[in-house]
Order: sequence, then structure tokens, then C-alpha cells
Amino acid sequence: MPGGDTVLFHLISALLLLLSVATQYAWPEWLQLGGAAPLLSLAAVLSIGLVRGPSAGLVAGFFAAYLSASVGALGMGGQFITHIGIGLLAGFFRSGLFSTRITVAIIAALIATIATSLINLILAPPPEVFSWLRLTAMTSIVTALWTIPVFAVFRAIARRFSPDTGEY
Amino acid sequence: MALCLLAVILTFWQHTARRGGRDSAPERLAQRVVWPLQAVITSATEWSHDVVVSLTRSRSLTQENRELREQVDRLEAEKLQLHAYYLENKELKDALGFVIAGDAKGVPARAIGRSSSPGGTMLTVKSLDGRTIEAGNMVRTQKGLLGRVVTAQKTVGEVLLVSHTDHAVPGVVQRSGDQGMVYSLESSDYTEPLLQMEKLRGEADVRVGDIIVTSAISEMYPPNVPIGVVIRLQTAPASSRTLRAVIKPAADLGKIDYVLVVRGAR
Repeated sequence: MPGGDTVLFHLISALLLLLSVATQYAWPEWLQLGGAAPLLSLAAVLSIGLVRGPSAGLVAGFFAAYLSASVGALGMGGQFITHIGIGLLAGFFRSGLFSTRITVAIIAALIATIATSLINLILAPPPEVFSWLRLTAMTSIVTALWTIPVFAVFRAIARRFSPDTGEY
Repeated sequence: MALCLLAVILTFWQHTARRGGRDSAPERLAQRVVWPLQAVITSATEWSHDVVVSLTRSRSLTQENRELREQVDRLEAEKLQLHAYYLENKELKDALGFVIAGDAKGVPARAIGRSSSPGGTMLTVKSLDGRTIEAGNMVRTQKGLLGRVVTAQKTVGEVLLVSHTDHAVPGVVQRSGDQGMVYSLESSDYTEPLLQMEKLRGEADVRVGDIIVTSAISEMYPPNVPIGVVIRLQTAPASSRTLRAVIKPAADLGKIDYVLVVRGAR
């Protein structure tokens, strides 16, 4: 990837990350599934990690956590752990088999959402376990569903600026 | 490593700021960047929602509108039908008002045909309520005498009209009581069917405008049924001592629709 294209890719990725965080916290009620909104920032970090590798995933995770915690009034510690961790792990899968398949992204999003919920459960235990379980399940499903367009966008951008990003 | 260190610093900064009940400077910076974007997204999603709702309601409104239009069409057709019934009823009431008032002898009937005979037009009537019509029955409208049934088959009868040359009825001038015979007037001077009253004595008191009714001496008709109105007085051609009164029939012979067949008139 030429230098100019790399800069452009990072710029577009940053803008999309910003957009995903803004959309996540402006998610309309009529689009919620069982009262759950998708974790778009997580889906974006996961997608960047899968298409661009661990370094990009780590940086994306850092910025997504920072923005998400700032806008959502959440604890930064937990957000950094989950987002950076997921970006990094997704990046490690980049060179794996079928890493650019959407189905892989969907499964990864399901696991990532559940993992995030578990970490949040440890850091900030909810008052009711059953409602937490229901919300976690719904959030996982809706995040996995919305990962499809998010991942498709990031994969298309990566292919545009880095033609070698293909399916294995 | 640098990012991890930065993450720790930011986390610590946030904790410190929150202890003081406010957001940290990096948080405020992020909020300044993201919030305007959030506002745009919120407006866009609300607009989209409104559009979706409008489209959904538009469909249902279109459907409702279509159903209402069909209902209006049905009601309009019913209204027209009811109006036709109203007019028919009104016409019937106008024609047979006295029947509705309670004349049990009358059989309401409708003119269903006309036929020509050497002496004039014959009228065919059909009972409306299924009661039979008999030969000799008087036929009239609310306004006056039409004639009598000469042949009948169950509910259908053929009527000899007062304007027919074979028809004659004893009449009486309602005002003076003078009597005479009422026949059809055959004259090319008149376009409408007219009657004449003859055998009036020279000194008979009859004037233009007098009402002629059936006489009590008639064997065919009950007394006091209006026959017509005197419109002209002439000297009878046979004798200068007798008068002839030209009578315009009380019933409109040119427009006969509903009639009353009076059974057992005499």
C-alpha cells in the first residue's frame, strides 16, 4: 500500500470509527431489538482488526474506547480493556483462514459482545442477573447483525486501498 | 506500549475528574467532536422514522380511502334507488291519495298498455296488489273518472276510456244540478281529447268553469265522481233549444300511469 493510500485509509477508518460511536449512542428506539442497541464501535474495531491486522486493531480499539467512554459516560478502564483487547485479538486472526468472510466477522462479533458484557459484569456488576443475561443476548444478536454492513464497509475500503487484502 | 500508557493516563484522568463531579478535558474534547455528529444522526433517523411512518400511514389511508369511496358509491346507488322509490311513492300517493286515505273498495293498478280501437284508445291496467279486476269496475284517478273495465282476466283489465266514442255516462252540473249525457267529442278543432255534455235543456244553468260529476241515475258509476270542467258552451247542431257543453276531462287522459279500480261501484 503506498504511503498516501495508507494515510487515506487511516483517515477514512478514523471517520468511520467516529461515525460508528456517534451512531451507537444516537441509536433510535424504533431500531432497537428488545431494547438493545448494537455495539457499533466494537463491530468497527473488530472489522478493522480483521482486515488490517493487530496494530490497526489496537489503535482502533484505543480510539473507539476513548470516544465511547467519553460520549457514553462509561469507565475508560473497562472500555480500553475490551476494545483494545478485541482489536488486538481480531488482528491476530487476520492472517487466518477465511478471516475476510462476513460469517467469521459475525461469529467474532457475537463472542466479542459476550466477552465485553462479561468484563463489564466483573467491573460493574448489574443489580439483576436475568435482565443482564437477556440484554447481553439481545445485544450480541443485534451487534452480530449490524456487523454485516460495518464489516462489509471496512473490507471494501481495505480492498480499495490495499488490493492484496483478499480472501484466503 | 505508548498507547497502553496513554490509556492508563486517560483512565486515571477520568477518575480524578469524576471525583470532582465533572468530565475530564479529553472527554470534553471527544464530546465536542462527537455530539454534533450525534445530533445530525438523531435528526436523520427521526426524519427517516417520520418518512417510514408517513409511508405506512399513507398506505393505510389509501386503503381506507378506497374502502370509503366504495362505500360512498354503494350509498350513492342506494340513495338513487331510494329517490326512485320516493318519486314512485309520491306519484302513487298523488294518483291514489284517497286510497291511502282509506278507500277499501279501490284496487290500485298501473297502466301497462294502450291499444287502438275504432272508437278510440283502450287502456290496459294491472292490479298492483294481486287482487282481481272485474268487468264493470270503475277506473279513476284522484282527479276524476277515467272509464270502466270492459274485459278482465284476473289482475288485468281493459278499460274503455271516457274519451272513447262507445262510452257514455250520465253527468250532472255540480253547481246547478242540471243533467245531461257525457260523450266523447269528435272534432278536429281540438288536439286534446275532450268530452261533450248534451241533452241539456235550453234554459239549463251551465257556465264555463262548471264541474261536471257523475249522476246518481247512472247504473255504471257511483255519483259525484268528477268527469271534467266546462270550457265552452255551444248550441247543439240538432236543435237551437238545446245546449252542448264542451268538457275538459278531469283526469289527464294523455298521461295515465297509476289508477284506482273501484270494485262494486254500484
